[in-house]
Amino acid sequence: MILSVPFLYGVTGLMIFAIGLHGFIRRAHFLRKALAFNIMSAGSFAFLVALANRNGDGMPDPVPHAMVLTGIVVSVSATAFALALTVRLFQLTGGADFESVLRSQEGCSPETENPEIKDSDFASGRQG
Amino acid sequence: MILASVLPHVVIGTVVVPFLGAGLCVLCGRRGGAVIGLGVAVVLLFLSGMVGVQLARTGVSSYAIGGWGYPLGIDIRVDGLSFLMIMTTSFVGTAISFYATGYFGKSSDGDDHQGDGRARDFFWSLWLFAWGGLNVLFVSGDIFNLYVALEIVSFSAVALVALGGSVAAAVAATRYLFLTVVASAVYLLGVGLVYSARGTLDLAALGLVSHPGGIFAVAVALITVGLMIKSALFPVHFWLPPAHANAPVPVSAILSGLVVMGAFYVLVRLWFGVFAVALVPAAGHILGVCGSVAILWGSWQAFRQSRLKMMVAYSTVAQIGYMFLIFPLVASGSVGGVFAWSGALYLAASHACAKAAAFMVAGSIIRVLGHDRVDDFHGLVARYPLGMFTFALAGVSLIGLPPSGGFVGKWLLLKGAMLSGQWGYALVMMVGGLLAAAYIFRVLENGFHAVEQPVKSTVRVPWSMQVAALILALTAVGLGIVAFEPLALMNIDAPFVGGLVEGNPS
Repeated sequence: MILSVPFLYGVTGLMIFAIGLHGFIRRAHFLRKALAFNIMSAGSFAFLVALANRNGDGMPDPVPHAMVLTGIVVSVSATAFALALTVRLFQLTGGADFESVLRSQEGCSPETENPEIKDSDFASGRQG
Repeated sequence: MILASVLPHVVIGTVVVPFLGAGLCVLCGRRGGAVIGLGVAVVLLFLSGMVGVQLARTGVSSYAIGGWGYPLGIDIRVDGLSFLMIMTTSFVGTAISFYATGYFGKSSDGDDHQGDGRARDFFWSLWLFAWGGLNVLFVSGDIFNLYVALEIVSFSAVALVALGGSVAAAVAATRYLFLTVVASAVYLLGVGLVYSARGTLDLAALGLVSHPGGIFAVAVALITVGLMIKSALFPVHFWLPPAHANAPVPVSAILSGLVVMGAFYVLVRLWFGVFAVALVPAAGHILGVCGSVAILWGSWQAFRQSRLKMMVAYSTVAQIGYMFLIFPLVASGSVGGVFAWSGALYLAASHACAKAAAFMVAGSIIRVLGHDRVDDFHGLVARYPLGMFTFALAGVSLIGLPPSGGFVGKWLLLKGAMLSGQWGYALVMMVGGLLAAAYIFRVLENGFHAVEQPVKSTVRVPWSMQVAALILALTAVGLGIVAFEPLALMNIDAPFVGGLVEGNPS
């Protein structure tokens, strides 16, 4: 692999992906996880755009660009979804990460479907 | 004559109809949702049958949307494996739709069991979106289209899980959402790597690779990890039990029966279609070890659960492990791989029926008793005998007792393991069967336990709920009785031709 600009671009994209993945695993707050996921996606998009380079100064390959656009749409939808769930959980419990939400679960709105759910069930499900 | 001209286009109907129905459900609100949902289910069942007829008549078919085929357009491709998945989804999906009309509607005593009705409002459109996404998944002939379909299915499934409404449901949905989007990002990176190596995204063209290179290995790893998360394979299965504990019962059936099967299907399609040249037996063993631990761990956790829904959820984790044994058994390259291929996929189909039936019965039991604590099931057989019967039938398939679809699947897998000399997996499968028997019998033993004063149930379970569960359980058993034709149909254009093509499991 020759050390060219597209190559560096692609490698940078992969490194951004790794940074995003690390942030996702390590950060607890829902918003930070959503941001980390967006960084991951940005990294994979940068890698895909780097793939679009062909013939050097010639026309770029449109297929990776189409993949990037689709990926952007998906990540925007996922972020919106994650934010909606975060807002909902904050309204219900006042917490915005898994620890505090689970800790405050007991004093919260009544479950409509399964009245028998306890924290212990959830804990065993979490580690199971 | 008309049939011959219409049949090739039926495949598009399986993709278009559920999305149209989902749109109509959004417009029609509460009452119309169930009607549209049921209508779409019946139409899809018919269309899936037509796809099977087309498959039997002309073999593998490829449909070019808009007249643009490869390399300009995205191909739709139907072979035996796709048809098995489409048919299973249609059949189980129709039964789930019938169940949901009873579950979300008013029961015979006039009591509206679903709290604020919001679950009912949105269930039908979300379910039809998920169903459409699954159908797109099964017929896609393009690796990036598989990514789009996985996203449709995942987002619909997350929203369905969040329909539970409680804090625990929202937490479970958040956990599932985060994990599934990370899995998708990893999968997308794998697809990018595949494209960088080959310059095409079409599955058939990718399958012609002769010099895989190192990039393919990395792409296999990334895609496999992403799909492992989506199909809840140990050790990344931990989103599944909380999602099941807090979701409405029809959603549990959809999640366990169909959504995880979709992710497993993509992995099978990619491993044996695109990545076959890059496989070494060690790669299969990684998945095999995860699957083996899933079988043992999932079955053990299922036995330990106090609630029936959680027990069935952990049973899903175990059965997914069985399905993932296809990878080491087939990648070993021996003749046993032919049996393992048929066995794992047949197991997936019968698991969808049996698992959905088990969840439906759990929901009905909650309706009757008000709880699902297994240890307090005493006298249940007197209050709800049809439920115990249905659960026993589903359990027969889950354990793998003859005659049932689960038995045929596990028998073929065992045969594959023994023929390829991989005794470890055979031993794990047999122990897993014993553990499955343990938790199924635990439920039955508690249900058949006599009580001093049998209480006659005052809560009537809607007949649609009971019949749907019974039909699925009977199908799970029936798949073991009429196994030859489905196996033959399923093996059309399988990667392994010869030997088992006639579908003879002996």
